[in-house]
Amino acid sequence: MENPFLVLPISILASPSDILREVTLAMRAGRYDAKRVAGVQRILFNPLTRATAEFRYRLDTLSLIAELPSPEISEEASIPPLLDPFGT
Amino acid sequence: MPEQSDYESALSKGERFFERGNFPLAKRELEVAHRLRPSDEIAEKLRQCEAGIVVQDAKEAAKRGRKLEKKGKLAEALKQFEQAQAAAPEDWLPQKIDQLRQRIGHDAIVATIAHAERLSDWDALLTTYEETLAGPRLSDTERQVFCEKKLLALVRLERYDEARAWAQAHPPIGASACYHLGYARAACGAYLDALNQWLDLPPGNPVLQQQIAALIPLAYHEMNELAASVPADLYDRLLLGTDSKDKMALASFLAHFKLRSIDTLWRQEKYQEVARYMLPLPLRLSLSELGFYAPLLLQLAEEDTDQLQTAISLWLTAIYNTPLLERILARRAVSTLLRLDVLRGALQQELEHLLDRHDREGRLDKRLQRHYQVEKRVIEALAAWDLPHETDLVWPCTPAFAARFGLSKTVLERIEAWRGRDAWDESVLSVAVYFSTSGHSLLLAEAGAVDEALAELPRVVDNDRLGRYCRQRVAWLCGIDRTLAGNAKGKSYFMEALPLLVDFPHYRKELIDIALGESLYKERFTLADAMEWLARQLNDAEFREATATLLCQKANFLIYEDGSKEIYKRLTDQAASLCPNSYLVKDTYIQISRAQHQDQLYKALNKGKLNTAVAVIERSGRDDELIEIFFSALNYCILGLESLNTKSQLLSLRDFLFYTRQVDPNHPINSTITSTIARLEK
Repeated sequence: MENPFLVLPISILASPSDILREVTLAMRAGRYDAKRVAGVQRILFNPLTRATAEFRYRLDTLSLIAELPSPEISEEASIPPLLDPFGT
Repeated sequence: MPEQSDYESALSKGERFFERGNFPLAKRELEVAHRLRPSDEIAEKLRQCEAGIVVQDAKEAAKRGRKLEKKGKLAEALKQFEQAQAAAPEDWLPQKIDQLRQRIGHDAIVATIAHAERLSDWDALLTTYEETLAGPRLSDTERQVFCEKKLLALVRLERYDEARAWAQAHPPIGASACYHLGYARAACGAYLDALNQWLDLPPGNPVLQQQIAALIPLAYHEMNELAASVPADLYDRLLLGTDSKDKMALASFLAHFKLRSIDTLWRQEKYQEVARYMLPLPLRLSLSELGFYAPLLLQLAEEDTDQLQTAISLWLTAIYNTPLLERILARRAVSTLLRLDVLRGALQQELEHLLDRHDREGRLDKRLQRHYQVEKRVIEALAAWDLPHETDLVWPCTPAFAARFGLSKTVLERIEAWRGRDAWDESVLSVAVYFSTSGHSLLLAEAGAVDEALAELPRVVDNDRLGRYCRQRVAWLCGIDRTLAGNAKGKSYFMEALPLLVDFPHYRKELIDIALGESLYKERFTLADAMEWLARQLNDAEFREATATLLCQKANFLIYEDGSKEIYKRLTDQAASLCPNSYLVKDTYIQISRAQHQDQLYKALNKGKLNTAVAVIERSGRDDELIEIFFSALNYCILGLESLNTKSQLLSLRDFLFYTRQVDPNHPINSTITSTIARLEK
């Protein structure tokens, strides 16, 4: 199965109308031929193929990030003083 | 006359000077001559002299101007050039005058800037820069310099928004200006942009490293707040832009940036780059990591078959993981009644399509195909059992996955907790064994590498039932492998696998199918010895009958192959002892007997002992085939008599007739012999 998110960069929450809007944008931009866009649209409109594509091509880094320890940010954190490391 | 001579002398000198272009002296002499005797001609020359003097003065002024310019006296030089231009305009003079004016103005600006910089008077500097930029004729390089200086001044004056807008229109190039732009961005709260800006600067500057380290927590916070994506190379640049001490202190921040960079790389399909960050695999894998690594490995395996084995174990484990699939369904926008098993089937097809593609392109090792089949079968079984398990355990998993991530022991404990320690049937054994210490050997054997499997088989201890089972399975597979290769040395392996055949009928059935199947011709006879031994150990009538059949088939085959009577007699005796009432055994005995009589008949006929031949026929119960052989042989003999003399022919024919009548008095050969004898006697 082709990675549909390369052709139509929709979000996880994209609804069918969002997908159609992306289809229109992709057609107008002319980055991909119409046949390919239509093929990808079919993948995304079918619940099974969309779920398959989500599993295979949407890397779930958010879950991984959620497992990382959250770094502590000091309340005093502020931008460093203005220096000029390269001289003027 | 003196007046005349004075006039001529002055005119003569004046004309000479005029000719030489010495207009001042020519003018002086011509004025004397004109005073003594005025004429239009002299007046004209006087006008020309005056014009010439002006041009010469202008040239002198330009000459002085050049000398003064060389001495750096720009203002005085400018005066001279302006004077020259006013007196006698030349093409080059306006450009020279402009150039001098600019240089005089630039020097004034430089002096002003130096003075303002000494005082850190950024307001004054900003004004000067703006005036300079507004002034005429700056080269591109000069314009860039003053644009960057203006940017610096704006930042120093804390006019950050203006600085950003100015940089947007006039992007800085120099390191210092870029640093200041970064600072302006940070000051406006665009920490990620600022970090990016600073990380583009030449690395290794200790001051900048400290500044970057201070900015990282703020950029991290902004990244989280906005769920912003970051450049794919951000993490690499962060490693370059921070010193080792900061890397340690900021490790937890850097880990987050790393994953964000990977996310961008993935969306750009730079899978090899992702692999560079994330491989080798960690020693333990959480559920989220499984959801990450499974698609990554599958993607890598698209091009690299070396990754295929790992991809198989990770992908199968991932798609059989219900919580992982539920995550996918839960985050979808449109709720559907999509069933997990249907989704799992579709995901499994993704892997199978990949395997098929590599197979079509001749890049798929058959052993790997078999490995996939085993992995799939085992995880299907584990999933179907629905064992209780802890939620933090990746469950179910394939044997290769368990071995790689140290889960094999845990899986076995789960199975034991579910089924108890005793009385495992083969459906459990054949799954659990792959998670035992011997499991790898069995996987190798299943994949066709039986010799490697044998070499890797661990020693079996007394209470290691999985070890024993594995050993028997490997032995069984070795036996089958040797048989299929037509190798007769499989018996010892089948002997070791005997407990399998005793306990589980399907092994017996499998062996029967091979022995009596049509797919192998001669090769299956190599099973005869092993099956004969097994049949005596097993209380299985069907197996005994099948073994008897195989033995008889082998005996029949050998009868016509090498005629070794002892062997085929022994085989038939073995078959008879296993299955005395078998029709095939009885028939084989008949074939053996016939073959023996044929041997004897041929021997007798070759030696011309017709009485012995007739006795063999009688002993065979007057076997039709033997009678046919006998008469065929005599036919040849009769034809061979023609070379003998009549007396000898008659003797032989009478002898033949005596025996042919004993064998069959009604055979047509008798009348042939009789008529031949009658013809010869005449």
